[in-house]
Amino acid sequence: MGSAKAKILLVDDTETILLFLKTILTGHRFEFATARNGVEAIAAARSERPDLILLDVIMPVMDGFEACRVIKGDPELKATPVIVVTTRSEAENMDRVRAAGADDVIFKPIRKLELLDKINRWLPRRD
Amino acid sequence: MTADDGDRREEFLSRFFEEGKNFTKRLLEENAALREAIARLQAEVAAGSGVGETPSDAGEKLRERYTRLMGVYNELRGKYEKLERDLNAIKTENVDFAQKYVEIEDQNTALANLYVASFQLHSTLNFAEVVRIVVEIVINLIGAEQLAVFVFDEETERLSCVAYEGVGEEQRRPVVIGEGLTGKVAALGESYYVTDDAGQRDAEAKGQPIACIPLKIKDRLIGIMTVHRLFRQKEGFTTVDFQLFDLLAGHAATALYSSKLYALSERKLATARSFLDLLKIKPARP
Repeated sequence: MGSAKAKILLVDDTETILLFLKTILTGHRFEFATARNGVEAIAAARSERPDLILLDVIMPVMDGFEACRVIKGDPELKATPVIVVTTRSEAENMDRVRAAGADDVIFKPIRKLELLDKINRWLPRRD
Repeated sequence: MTADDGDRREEFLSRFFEEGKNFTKRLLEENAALREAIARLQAEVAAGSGVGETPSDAGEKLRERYTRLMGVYNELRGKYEKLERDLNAIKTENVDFAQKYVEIEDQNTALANLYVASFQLHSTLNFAEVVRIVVEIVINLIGAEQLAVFVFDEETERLSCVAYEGVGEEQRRPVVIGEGLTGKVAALGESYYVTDDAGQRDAEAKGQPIACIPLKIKDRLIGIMTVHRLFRQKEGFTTVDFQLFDLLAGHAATALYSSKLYALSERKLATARSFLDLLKIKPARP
C-alpha cells in the first residue's frame, strides 16, 4: 500500500526561504510548486490544486493577506488549508491573519519540527 | 374440701397435663427438625468432599485449594509487576528517543540553514544581490528584526552602510575603525554578542548592537554586520545562530569581495573593449 505525495504550494518572494523550505521538507513525501507573489499564488493554486499552501505575507504585487482572501473566497479553493508564514507575532498581525481566513500561522525563523507538525495537522489523509 | 374445690382441682390438673403434653409435642417436633437439618448438612459435606469424608478432611482440602490459588495469584502478580517495570523502562527509553529525535531534527534544521546560506551567498556575483541575500539570511534564518550591513571602503578607511532593516540613522552612520563599539569590534576582528535578556534591553536602550560580526577573509576586513533587535517570538540566540554568524563571517566576506572584484573586472573589460574598438577604426584618408 503506497502513499501519494502531497503537493504543497510555497509562496514567498525570497529565494532563500523557498530553498530553505524545500530543503527541510525534502524526504517527507511532498512535492512542491512555488510562487513569488500573491498574483502568482492565486494562479498556481488554481492550476496546481495543491493540498496545502505555505504563504508569506510581505510580497510585492499582491501581499499574502489579499491572496489568502481571494483563495478562501474561491469556492473551488476555499477548502485548501493555508498556513501563513510571517515574522510578526504582534496581535494586530494576528488579527489580519484571522481576517484573511488563514487556517494557521507559523513564525520565522522556522523550526522544521514545528512546521511538519502544522503541515501534518492540516493535510488531508493520504491513502 | 367442697365439691367445688374438687372440680377446680380436676380442672387444674387437666389443664396442667394438657399443656405438658403440648410442650412435649413441640420439643419432639423441634428435635425431629434438628435431626433433619443435621442429616442434610452431613449430606452436603459428603457431596463436596467425597463420600465418607469428615468435615475436618473437607476443611483440609479447602485449605490446600486456597494455598494453590494463592500461589497462582502470587505468580501472576509477579508477572504483572515485571511487565509494569518493563513498560516503565520502555516509556523512559521512548522519552530518550523522542529527545534524541528532536535534537537530531534541530541539527538537520541547522545543517539546512548552513547549506541554504552558503548556496545562496555563492549563487551570484552581483554585489547588490549578495548584500540582499545577507540581509535575507539574517532576517529569515536567524530572526533579526533590526540589522545593518557595512562594507569597508579602503579609500575612506571607513565602514559604510550598504543595507539595513529597521534601524535608525544613528545606527547606519559610517563607522571609523576603532571608534565606538562597532569600530572596536572591526579593529579586533572578533564577533561580539550580548546573549542575556537584560543586556539586550540595555544595549537597545543605548542604541548599540546586540551582535557585531566582522566579515573577514583571513585577517582582511571586508565589512561588518550588526544586529540590534531580534523578533519578539525569538527567545534569544541559539547554537544554530552562532553557527550561521560564523558562516556569514567568512562566506559573506568572500561573496562580497568576489562580487566587487567581478564588478571591477567587468568595468575594466568594458574599458579595454572600448579602447580596442577605437583602435580598429581606421582614420579617414585626407
